[in-house]
Amino acid sequence: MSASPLKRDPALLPVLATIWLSLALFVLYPLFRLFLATFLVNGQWSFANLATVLNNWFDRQAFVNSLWLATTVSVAGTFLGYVYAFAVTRLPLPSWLKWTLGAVTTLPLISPPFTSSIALTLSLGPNGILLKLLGLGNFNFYGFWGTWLSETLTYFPVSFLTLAAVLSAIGPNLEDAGLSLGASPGRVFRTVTLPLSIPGVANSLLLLFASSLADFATPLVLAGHSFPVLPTQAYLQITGLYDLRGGAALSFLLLIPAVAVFFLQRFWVGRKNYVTISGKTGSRSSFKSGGRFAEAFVLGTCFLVTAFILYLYSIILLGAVVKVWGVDNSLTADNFRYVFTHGRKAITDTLLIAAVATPLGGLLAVVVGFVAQRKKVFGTRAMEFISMLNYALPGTVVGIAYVIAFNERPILLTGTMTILVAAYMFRYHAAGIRAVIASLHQIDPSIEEASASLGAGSARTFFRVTVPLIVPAVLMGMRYLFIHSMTAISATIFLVSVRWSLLTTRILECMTELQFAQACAFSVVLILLVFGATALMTGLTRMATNRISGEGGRN
Amino acid sequence: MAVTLELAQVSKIFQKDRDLVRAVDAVSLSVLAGEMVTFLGPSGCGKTTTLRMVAGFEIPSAGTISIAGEDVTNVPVNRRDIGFVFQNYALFPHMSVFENVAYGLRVKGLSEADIRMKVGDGLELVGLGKAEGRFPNQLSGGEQQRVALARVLVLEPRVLLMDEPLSNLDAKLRIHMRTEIRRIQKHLGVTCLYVTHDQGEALTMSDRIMVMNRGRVEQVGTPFEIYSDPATLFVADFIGQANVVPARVEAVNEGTLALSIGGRVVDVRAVKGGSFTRGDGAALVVRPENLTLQDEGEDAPFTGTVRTRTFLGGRMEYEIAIASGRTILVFDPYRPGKRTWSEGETVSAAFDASVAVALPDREGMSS
Repeated sequence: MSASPLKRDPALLPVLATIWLSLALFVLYPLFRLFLATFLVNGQWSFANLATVLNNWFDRQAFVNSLWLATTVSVAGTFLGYVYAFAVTRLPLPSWLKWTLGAVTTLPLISPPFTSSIALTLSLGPNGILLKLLGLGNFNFYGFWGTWLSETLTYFPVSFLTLAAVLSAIGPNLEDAGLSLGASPGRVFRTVTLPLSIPGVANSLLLLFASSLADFATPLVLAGHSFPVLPTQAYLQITGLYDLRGGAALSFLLLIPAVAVFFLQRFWVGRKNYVTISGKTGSRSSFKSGGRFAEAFVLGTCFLVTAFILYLYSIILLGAVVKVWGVDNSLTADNFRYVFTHGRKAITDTLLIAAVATPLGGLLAVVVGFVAQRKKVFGTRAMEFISMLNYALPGTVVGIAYVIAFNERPILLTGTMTILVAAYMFRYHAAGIRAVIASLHQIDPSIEEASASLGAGSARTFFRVTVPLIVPAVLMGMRYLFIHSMTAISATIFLVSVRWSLLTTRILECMTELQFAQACAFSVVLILLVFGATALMTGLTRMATNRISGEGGRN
Repeated sequence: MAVTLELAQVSKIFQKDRDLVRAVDAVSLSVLAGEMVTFLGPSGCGKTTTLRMVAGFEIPSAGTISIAGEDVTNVPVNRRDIGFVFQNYALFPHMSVFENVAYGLRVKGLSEADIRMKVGDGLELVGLGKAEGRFPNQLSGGEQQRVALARVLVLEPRVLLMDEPLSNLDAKLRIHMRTEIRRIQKHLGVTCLYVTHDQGEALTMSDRIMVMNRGRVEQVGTPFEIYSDPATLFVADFIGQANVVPARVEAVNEGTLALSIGGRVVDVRAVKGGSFTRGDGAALVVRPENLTLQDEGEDAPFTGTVRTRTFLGGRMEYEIAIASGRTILVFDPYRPGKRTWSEGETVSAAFDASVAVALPDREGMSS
């Protein structure tokens, strides 16, 4: 049996070969080169590069800062995410309010990385309107607090989505049982709801820790010189000092906690069964209130945070239509004119690259997901793992690895569109792979066996039966891929060139040249493009889902 | 058109965690052209795995499978020319009924006109002529099953394989569908293997039944043979209900034995192919409906007290504790006015020598 799938399925071998070759080229080879660049000095194995970094006080501080920032962001973001998730799944709110809370949390998820940083700079930075309003003249917002606040707001929606899924999966019967045994709502929360959601909380902590650790855009704008972190240090080392080895060593330092978190998540939290739903689940209609004070606290927090997010987005919009923020507040369309003339190439380039990477990455996700879930061939687990690697690693690490690997012959790719497309495909197809695997899990293998027994070969079965059934999952994965191809910065910043200009890097340039109005206008255009594309793909997904919502043949 | 099917020493070994599990153990079977053979056994006995090997979904670890005399052991499923009906129907949810049935015909590359005609005929055959445009999720379970059947039959497969096709239907529909499937199978004369764990299905539908247990074949035979001459205690117990009582062989005659049960000697049939010698232990198998009750009598082989009695409408069921401490089950047809016994009463049960059968006591019951 072990060798037979290859023998019986002639299409499988070339497919496997293609996948492995591309993973080797675009995932393993760059990481291998990064490893070599870190540990090979003049042809000798050496810790010299790492030692240089570790002996540098500033770099050591960056390492400590990165870990501290990631810890605080993950705790604060998970807390906020839990509060939101509790409000949406447990409080008797009208449905439009729940919808609003959910919609507002998706804003940071699909926005370009600088959005909240720009808005926070405009409100709390020098000349910030909130500072003036509160009369806090000389408050220094740059550094830890600004970065922490911005990252927490950017990443808590991830926690919200994770925890909302976990909380709504806890059968209401369990909580009703607690209440019927005489426990107060607070006690039920403490003894039933919270313990059952602990694996979800752990997962959320790890996800946010990894996100914050890898975040490049926020600290670049807000951390400043007083609060160095690893991703920005590695970037400055390479672009400022042209020290590729130092950058490699720094990114290697960043890699260690990132890999640790990845393994923890995959092999510890990932294994835990979230919630055991016992017996028939009743309705959640008559949910008991959690006590006046708790309810007020949860609602108040949600209201404040939601209002603050909306305020930040309106700042971006306002910033894009005034002449000079805080100085000359008269309305103008100049900034948009600037975007559509000087920034025209950035818009078309960004769209083109995203439009190329999305279908290619979608196809790759389908094939990898299918092989990993359906074909029990030696090495498929390793294949799935490796294909997730670029996604799990911080973008800075991937970017630096790509620069090192593809900057010279035999594989000279720097400055081409290929390297950007490859970086996006192999980094952001992970969501698609997960969705495809989950969706295949739902489809009974007998559907494919039926096709084979009716005489169809494996290619026909794949394209006529399997693919149509997983289209919604693929579209979801492609939506994710598109959003991130449009808004990515951390890996891309190392890979852009004169020939290819991107919206995110243009925003960064505007920020460093203090052209806030133009940065806002670019952001608004980018957000609208992403929104449009997201809406389109969500519509397509919904259509595809409706078409095959049939239960026939599903167990 | 009908073809023969041959399984020779077919085995399947799975790796489960660290252990090797022999799911199917040296199964051999010859199926005649146009014959319907049922694989019957408890869950996990290897019947479905055997069927899936015939289909080509699994590859045997050892042994060969031939269709029409041709070795197909290593032929992929899509070239075997078999039709497989799945337990969960496995209809393509994104295709209409028409497209589902046309799927295999399109693979064969038939012309659109031929496809239209054959799909129409196929759906007509299963009584779903008007459902062409509907989708699987708009059909009831029974209708889905018929579409699954039509989808396979339009291809005129050489062998029809069915894996518990009726187990997801409700009881009434199940009984209707089993006569329907049998009718179509006879009408087309197609060789058919049918997996079930429902003995009623097996007895009513099959030409022959293959009873399996723990990956091995216990017995192959017609429904009559399986029921009246169970080759093993497992078969006796699995098909219908049976009282199995330990006994000792007193005398061996031509085809019959004299057995002593609790001091009384009775004549019973010896199972075909069983060898007995005087003084051996034997197992007496007698079905509950073959016992007749009477008030306590000297000559009856069993005497005991009524433990429970249950009225089922058509019959009375008695559990009777007999002298050796065992309980036997007796089904007594009920008519108004007939003598019944109450709990605690002493009663005797007798049987005709021709309806009881003795098996060699391999499992050492008497000890």
